[in-house]
Amino acid sequence: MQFLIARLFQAAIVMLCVAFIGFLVFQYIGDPVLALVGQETTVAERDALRESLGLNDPIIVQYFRYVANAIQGDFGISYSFNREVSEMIADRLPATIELVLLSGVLSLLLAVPAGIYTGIKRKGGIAQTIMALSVIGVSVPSFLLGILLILVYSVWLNWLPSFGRGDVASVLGFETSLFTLDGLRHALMPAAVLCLFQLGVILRLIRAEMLEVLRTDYIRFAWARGLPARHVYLGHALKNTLVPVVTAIGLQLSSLFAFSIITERVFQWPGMGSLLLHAIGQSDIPLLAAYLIFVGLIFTISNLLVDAIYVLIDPRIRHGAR
Amino acid sequence: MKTKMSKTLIRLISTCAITIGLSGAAQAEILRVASQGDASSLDPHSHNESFTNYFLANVYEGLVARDVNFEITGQLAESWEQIDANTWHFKLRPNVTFHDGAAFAADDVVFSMTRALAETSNFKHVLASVDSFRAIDDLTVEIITKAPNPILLNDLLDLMILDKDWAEANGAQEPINLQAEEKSFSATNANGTGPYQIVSRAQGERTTMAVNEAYWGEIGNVTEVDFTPINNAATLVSALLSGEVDVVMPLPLQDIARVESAEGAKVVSSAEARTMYIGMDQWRDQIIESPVEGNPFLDLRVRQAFAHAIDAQAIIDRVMQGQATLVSQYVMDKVNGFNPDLKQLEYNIETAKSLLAEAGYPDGFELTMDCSTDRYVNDGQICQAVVSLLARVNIKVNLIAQSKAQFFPKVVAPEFGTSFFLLSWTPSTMDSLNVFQNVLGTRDLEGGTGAWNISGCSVPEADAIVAKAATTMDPEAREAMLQHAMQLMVDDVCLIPLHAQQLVWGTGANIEAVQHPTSEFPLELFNVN
Repeated sequence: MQFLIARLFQAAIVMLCVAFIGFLVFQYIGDPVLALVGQETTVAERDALRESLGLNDPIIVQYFRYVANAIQGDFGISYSFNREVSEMIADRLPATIELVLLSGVLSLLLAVPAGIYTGIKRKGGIAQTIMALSVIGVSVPSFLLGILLILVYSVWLNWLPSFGRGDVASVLGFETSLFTLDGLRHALMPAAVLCLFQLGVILRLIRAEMLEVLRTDYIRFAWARGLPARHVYLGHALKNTLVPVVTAIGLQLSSLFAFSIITERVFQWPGMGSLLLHAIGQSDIPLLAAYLIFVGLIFTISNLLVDAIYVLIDPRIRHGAR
Repeated sequence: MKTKMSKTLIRLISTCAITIGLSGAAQAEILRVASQGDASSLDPHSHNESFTNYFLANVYEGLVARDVNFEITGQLAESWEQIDANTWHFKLRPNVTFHDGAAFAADDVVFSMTRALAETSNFKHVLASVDSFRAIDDLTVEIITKAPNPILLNDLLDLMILDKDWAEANGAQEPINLQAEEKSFSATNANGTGPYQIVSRAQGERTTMAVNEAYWGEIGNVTEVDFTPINNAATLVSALLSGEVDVVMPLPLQDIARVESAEGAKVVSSAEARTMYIGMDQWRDQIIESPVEGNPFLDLRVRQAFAHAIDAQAIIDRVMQGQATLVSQYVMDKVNGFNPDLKQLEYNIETAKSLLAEAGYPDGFELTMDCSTDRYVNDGQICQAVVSLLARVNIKVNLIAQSKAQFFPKVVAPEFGTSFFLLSWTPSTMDSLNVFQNVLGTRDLEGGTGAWNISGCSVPEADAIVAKAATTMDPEAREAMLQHAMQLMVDDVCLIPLHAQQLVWGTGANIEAVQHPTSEFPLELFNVN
């Protein structure tokens, strides 16, 4: 419990710092007033608007005013959407979460078995092929892959839609496209693009860990005891590869949010990533600040979860032994 | 009270009309439109941005509008007459209803004009010439201008009319007030008299519209509009080629050949009123971000040399893939004040070099150019071409290619922080007075002119002619004045005109689209075959 409180306190500090760095950067992203008014607006009107939005105040004043409001749950009104920022995020978040979840699950389902397999049969033809493909997954930029997929599956074959989120259904109060056929058709390509990088990274990590562990003495003892292969590989070896793998997955899941920016752009997926790009283009400071704080929150939460999972999988941590 | 009664009556009648209209409705034709941006608001008075204005022109209407031939015709005003030099009477179209069924009347016009003048409105300029206005009766509005205004109708094109009762009932008497942190009902809801009404809207995601069955005018066969913004150019083109959308705007120039060769898709293009210029600092004694001493551009010969050195036709052929028209001046030929006698300074390196030598720069000089990379069609590449063209006359240009979010705050008033730059202008009124007031006129920020005169050029003789033209009611005399002023500005090489860009869309082979030089997209003139 004390641990949790300490971590939450750390999270709050992280978010305050992120917001502060954000406000420093906002000075260089352009003038929101110019994005808000038309070409015929007079200079005096522009100045009046800038003054009334508080953009002439020193950064530190703007920052503390923002934090004071944010603590009360008021994230302000988006300049470019004319809507409450918290409402905008609530609207766009489900789209990103479903994309991240779908690609996360996809990459785990594929990476764990493939990682184990390539760890065991590292000389086999199939294993070599998987490894070669995983290099492509890690090295091909996601925007290129996305455009290629669109070209093949939308333009040439006409199988899958190239943009948007499709039909959504309301499940447990959230709008999601994961429960409609049309929605899944729309989600498939962006999720695949997003998954591929994770897939490569996790697969290679599991393989490397397996190779490491399989060389250790206790695995040799396990073989000597005549245990069946399944027990040795999954019960003894895999379990001991999990600590670094879980750390990596936790960090990867949060970085999926970051990677989703490009994927969402390519597939016009209406999630947080497209929202961020729009906000940057429009110098929409309230939206940008909220996005940064929010992503900071996601990173801290997922790290917290990773720490909690350590305790579950590694008895040494649970019992405080070193 | 009487007005209320008649409104109710008209509402009743119009309800009947809707029912009749529905029973006779033709087969549903859905038009799927994708564009690189989205309307920034549904409030027609909150953001004066061309895409937003033209998007909303399908939903809201003004007193006047442009027809298929680009002539100004009556929209919500059926006719108008000028009583004296300053007084205009607009006779409103009877039996028009808003999308919610409420009747349209003169008090809605008065309300909308008042609203457009509100503190938070971004459309105050359209009524800048107006002194007062009032409703004479239910269907007549009087507008009195401060001085004779020959282009009052052009000014009114961008003034959209809202329903007074609807706005008041929803607390939308004024456009959104950002600093008051109020949500604005009118930013996300619309109730106009236009040919299409908003059915659903998620900004940045999707907007659907349905045809207004009670519409007073003619509508093509499009009954539903499904609009999606697609920011990524490659995705936009793919969506057209895969048949998922019917119209994409704008079509990136590099994809023209691909769309033309594709089955089921075609390219539509026409001249656009957006004109591109190269600007040169003519107000500082010392140009900035350059090692040269003093300001070479103060010498007319240097400005002429630059114009001779920049091969605008080559830029059109290579950078714009032919999708632009050479311009000799600061407006294209469909804009009032276009002077047909003017010629662009010919591309000639030798002339340029000798002019530079005469001006005292036989070995050229070095300077910095500011350029946006995401605002105009191929703007970054245009600037790169200018850099290499000028290198041939020993002008060394350091290019700062930057996003519009960096570019505009740097170059606009009050700093005007550039000495050499690329800029562009579309006169929203299609009248060169708009260009003179904003871009070419001598800077007088308090007086409201020259706010975009980043060059800081000044030709007092032209200013005087323009001031006179602004209140000259005789169209021919006025046109002659504007043309004269245009010639003075061109002779002074205030800016170097490059080209007028083309409006390029990709559409399905079965789509009949209508394009205007202003880049508006009047969907009621579209047809799906």
